[in-house]
Amino acid sequence: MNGDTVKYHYSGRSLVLRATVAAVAAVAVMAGITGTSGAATSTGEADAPPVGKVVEVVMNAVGYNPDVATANGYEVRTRPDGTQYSVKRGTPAEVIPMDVVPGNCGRSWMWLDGIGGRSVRINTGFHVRDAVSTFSWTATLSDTGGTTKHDFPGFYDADGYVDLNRIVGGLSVGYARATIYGFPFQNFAVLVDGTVCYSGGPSDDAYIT
Amino acid sequence: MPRPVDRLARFPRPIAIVHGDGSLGPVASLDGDAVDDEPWAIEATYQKSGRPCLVIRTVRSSRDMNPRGLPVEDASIQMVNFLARADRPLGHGLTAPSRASSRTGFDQVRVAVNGAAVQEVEVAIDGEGVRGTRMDALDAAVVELAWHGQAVFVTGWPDALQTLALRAATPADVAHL
Repeated sequence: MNGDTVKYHYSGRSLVLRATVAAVAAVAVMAGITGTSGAATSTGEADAPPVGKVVEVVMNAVGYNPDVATANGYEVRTRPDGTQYSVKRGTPAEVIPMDVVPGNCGRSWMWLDGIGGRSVRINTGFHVRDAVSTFSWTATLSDTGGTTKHDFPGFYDADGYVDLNRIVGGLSVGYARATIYGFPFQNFAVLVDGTVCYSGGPSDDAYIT
Repeated sequence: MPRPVDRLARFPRPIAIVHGDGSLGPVASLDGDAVDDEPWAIEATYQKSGRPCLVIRTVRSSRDMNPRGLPVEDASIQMVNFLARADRPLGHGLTAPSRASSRTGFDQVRVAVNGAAVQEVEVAIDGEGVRGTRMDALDAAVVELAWHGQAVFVTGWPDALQTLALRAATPADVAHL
């Protein structure tokens, strides 16, 4: 990606996801885990000059959180073929959304800038197709001195547009990389209809001075 | 995802919220962030018309933490993050920032904050006066206080800070979340 902005459209709340029951069950467990993060612990990758950074990528809908859906007036249902979908509570059973858009539920980004003083600025975030009930978002920052993980507060956002900034200091001179790892790492937004929308793994590099 | 009441219990020291109901109502959300899985800060957010109008961020002392890779907490970063949530026009659109717009937005806030006059203020927390500073810029304000060895940043629209008094949060304050 070259950092140009990308415009796109979604089909609305009745998006259908081709998630299997098994995948949904796994996600439901992961999304419910408290206080843990599956971020990588590699420290060696920041030693080499950066290659192939991807700063803005598609997010993936992997399943649903039925508790969030229920709390916001939605209901998660399962088709005979095992796929799930979320609809407003009370929607007649015969109404099954068919506008299938597998996977894509938004975009996420990561910008990393060296700002001098052995510090960097992290700007990361995402925009998704519906309001965000909560999210889990951890930037893994690797520099020549090691790796630190930075969790951001997972607030509600009515627009589905979350823009997060952090200055990190006390780093080591040299190349650094920040990543929001994708599934199965716990970087996801839970939309108000219960959709669990995972980071696609945006990453960016900077040189720390 | 930890429940707010659990997040509050895990934080090493008290966190600040608004004292009294006032016009802000109860805490709308209580979220936290962490560094290397250690709690780092908790934010109590108050809303008006579905948008944040006041965010109280209590940042723990870093004395018992490795200084490598810790977040830098100052008025600029509070203002950047508050405006990113509260000052977004409706129908903002689904467009990620480019590197240029990301930098520009941050730099504009930093310049405005660095150029703003800093006033000394005193805010009551649990009924005791705590001295700090206040800075107004970009139609918003940031109050910074030192409390129990922690930093407390109160960031919001000026009308939400008009009669500011704080107190330590209890589990009952977030039980509704």
